[in-house]
Order: sequence, then structure tokens, then C-alpha cells
Amino acid sequence: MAKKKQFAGKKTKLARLPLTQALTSQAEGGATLSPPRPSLSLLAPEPRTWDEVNAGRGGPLAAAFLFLVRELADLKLALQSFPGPDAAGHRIYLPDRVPPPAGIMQALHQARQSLQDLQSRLSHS
Amino acid sequence: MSHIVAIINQKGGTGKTTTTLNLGAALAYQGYRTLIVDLDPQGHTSIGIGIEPDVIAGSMADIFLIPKKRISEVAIPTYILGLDIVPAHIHLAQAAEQVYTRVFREAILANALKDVDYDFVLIDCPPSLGVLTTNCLYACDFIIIPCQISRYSLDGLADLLTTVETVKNVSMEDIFQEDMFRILLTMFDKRNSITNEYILGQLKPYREKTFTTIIMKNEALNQAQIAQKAIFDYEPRCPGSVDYSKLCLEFLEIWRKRNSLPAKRPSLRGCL
Ligand SMILES: Nc1ncnc2c1ncn2[C@@H]1O[C@H](COP(=O)(O)OP(=O)(O)O)[C@@H](O)[C@H]1O
Ligand SMILES: [Mg+2]
Repeated sequence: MAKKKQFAGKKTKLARLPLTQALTSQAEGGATLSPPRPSLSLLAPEPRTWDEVNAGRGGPLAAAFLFLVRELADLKLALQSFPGPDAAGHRIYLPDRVPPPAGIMQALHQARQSLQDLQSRLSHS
Repeated sequence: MSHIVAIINQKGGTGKTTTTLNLGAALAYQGYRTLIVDLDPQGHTSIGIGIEPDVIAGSMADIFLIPKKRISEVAIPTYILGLDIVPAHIHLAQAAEQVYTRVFREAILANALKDVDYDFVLIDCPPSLGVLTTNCLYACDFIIIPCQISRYSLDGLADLLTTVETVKNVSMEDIFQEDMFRILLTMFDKRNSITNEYILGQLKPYREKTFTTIIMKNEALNQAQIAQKAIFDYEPRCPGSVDYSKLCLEFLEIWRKRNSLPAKRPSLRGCL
């Protein structure tokens, strides 16, 4: 007998679950699941976003970091036509959440290196 | 408030520990302050990240034995910047037994976690649905269910959904609609086509609750545990490393949606 045929009629615990059956019948065009109760929000939003940092609520270190990243972004735009090796290797990555102080310090260090590289490129041109 | 994620499947060997450790490391490397809570008395996550349970001062057992003990008192840093862990010790099994006499015992972990200051807390569960796992389910707001491609992993999933319904006191349909869990396929081996087809067929109703990232079978993930390192530090370019990086990004995307956070800022992202 073909191997797969021997699976026929063998129901797993998962298949017997009422939720599985409801989902299956929904997929086949049957009744849809009822919408969740609105009060059931189990995830509260986190506070520390970049917008809050922008508004000065993330502490001075985070504000300095954001300021620096923006300044460097502007500088890069201004230098786009600048000849020389590609600066892609010196990317500064702005994570979508405010990193912990240690992470910010690391990024500031990276920014300093980028500026040093820029300085040497300018002096060689 | 921290985002508390349970990594559960009461079947053993489905990739819970491997997932907790590597997702935790990936989140820390992305700049998120992350805490791993090792809730398995075997302490595999603790050992896997380089902590020897026999030489540590405090552990998860203290949380269950000493009333009002805070998580921050027993969390210790790992070798990865931004990644802390509350280690497990074999005493945890006994501590959990004693807890059976305490009133409101399923809330012990949730209470201990109340004032922690991390972006993410990942809880690695033991392979059972006992008091430790109940505590974890009570405390968490999202569940990752690692499933190997085997029939009994599916049973594990079914039992877990039933348990969540009881512990969280919500209907299973609400658990589904509220986007409270994701199934993670682990140790996937393309060569096992007959089993794969069957299991994927069984999971079809849950497709939207299954991570699109699949963790392939990759021996380096096994070896990294011996080296007591996250996969990114053991073999950064191996398939396991790529899979867990992808999982981290997909996880963050879900988290953003769950919190209705605005999309990333494209004008600043990767601009330098
Ligand atoms: N994707 C994978 N490829 C190869 N081996 C893996 C993979 N994921 C986990 N393992 C190995 O399988 C075993 C069980 O995994 P583990 O994460 O400890 O499971 P659990 O915590 O659910 O019991 C471990 O030896 C682990 O190294
Ligand atoms: Mg484990």
C-alpha cells in the first residue's frame, strides 16, 4: 500500500481541536470566527520611541545620538558627488527603538570613526 | 513595560532552548535590551550561553522560594552586550514542587517580572505543562511554539492551546484572533518529504499563525551549544545563523504591528 494512504483517517489531537475545526470550516466558506473582545489588549505600547527622544524625553545621551545621526546624514547628502571610495562601509544604523546607553556609546564611537575617515578622505583630495 | 515572550512546547527537543538563546542574542545584537529567563531546571539555556549553574549566586529557584524576590536581583549579564539571563539550577524543580502550596501560585513569575526594565523578556520553558509553564503562560503576552516536523509536536501544540485557554481565561478563538502566538517550524529537513507534507497539511488552518521563517536542520546549531555560544558568534554565515536572523526580523515586525508602532523611518535608516 502507498505510504500516504496509510495516513488516511488518522486524526491528530490538533485536528480534533474545536479551533482547528472552526478554522477549517471557515476556510471552506463556513461561519467565520467571531471578532475578539475589544478589551483584550495584552500588549501595552512601549514608551521610548525616537519621536519621544526628539521631544527631549529620552535623556541627553539619546538626544545627542539622534542629533549626530541626522547631522551626519545631511553631511553625506551634501557630499554625494564627492569622488572617492564608497562610504557604504561606514554605515550608521539607526535602530527603530532607542538602544540602551551602552549601545548609544558604541554608535557614537562609530560616528567618530566615520568622521575621522571623512577627514582623511578630504585631506587626500 | 517589557514585552514578555514565552517559548513553549511541552514536547521535549523541539528547539525551544535553541530558539530562546539565538533569538535572544539576535535581539540584543539589534540593540534591544533583552532578558532570557531560563525556566527549565535542566538549565540548558544558561549553559548554552556560557553560564555554569553550579557557580552562580542566584537563580530562578530563588524567585519561587523567596517571597518578593525580584528578577533584577538574580539577573546576570552574558558575554553578549545587552543580553542578560536569569539562570536555572536543578533546584528549580524542587522549588516548583514546593510552590504547589502557595495561593495564587501561577502569578509568582509575573509579579517578579513587574518592574524589570528590558525591551524583551524571553522565557525558555521546560518540556511539561506544570507549575513553571503555567507561571510562564500567566506572565507572557506572546507565545512562540517551536514545532519539529513530527506528529507529537502537533499534539504538543493542541495541548498547549488548551492550557493557554485555561490559564489566560480567554477562549481559544480569542487567542487566535488576538494574535497571541506563532508556530515556529524547526529542524526542517527537506528530504523528509512525506512527513513534511503531512505535518504541513495538518498545520494549514494555522498558516497565518506560523512564522514564514523556517529553521532548517543545521548541525552548526548543535555545535554552537557545545561551544556555549550564540550561532552568530560560532558560525556567522551558516544557514542556522541566517535563519535565526530572519526570525528576529520577522518577530520584530509582528511586535511592531501588535503595538501599532509607526513604520521605520526610511529617511534615516541606513543612510550613512
Ligand atoms: N535547527 C536545528 N538543526 C540541528 N540541530 C538542532 C536544531 N535546533 C535544535 N537542535 C538540536 O536539537 C536538540 C534539541 O534542541 P533544544 O533546543 O534543546 O530543544 P528543547 O529545548 O525544545 O528541548 C539540541 O541538541 C539542539 O542542539
Ligand atoms: Mg530546552
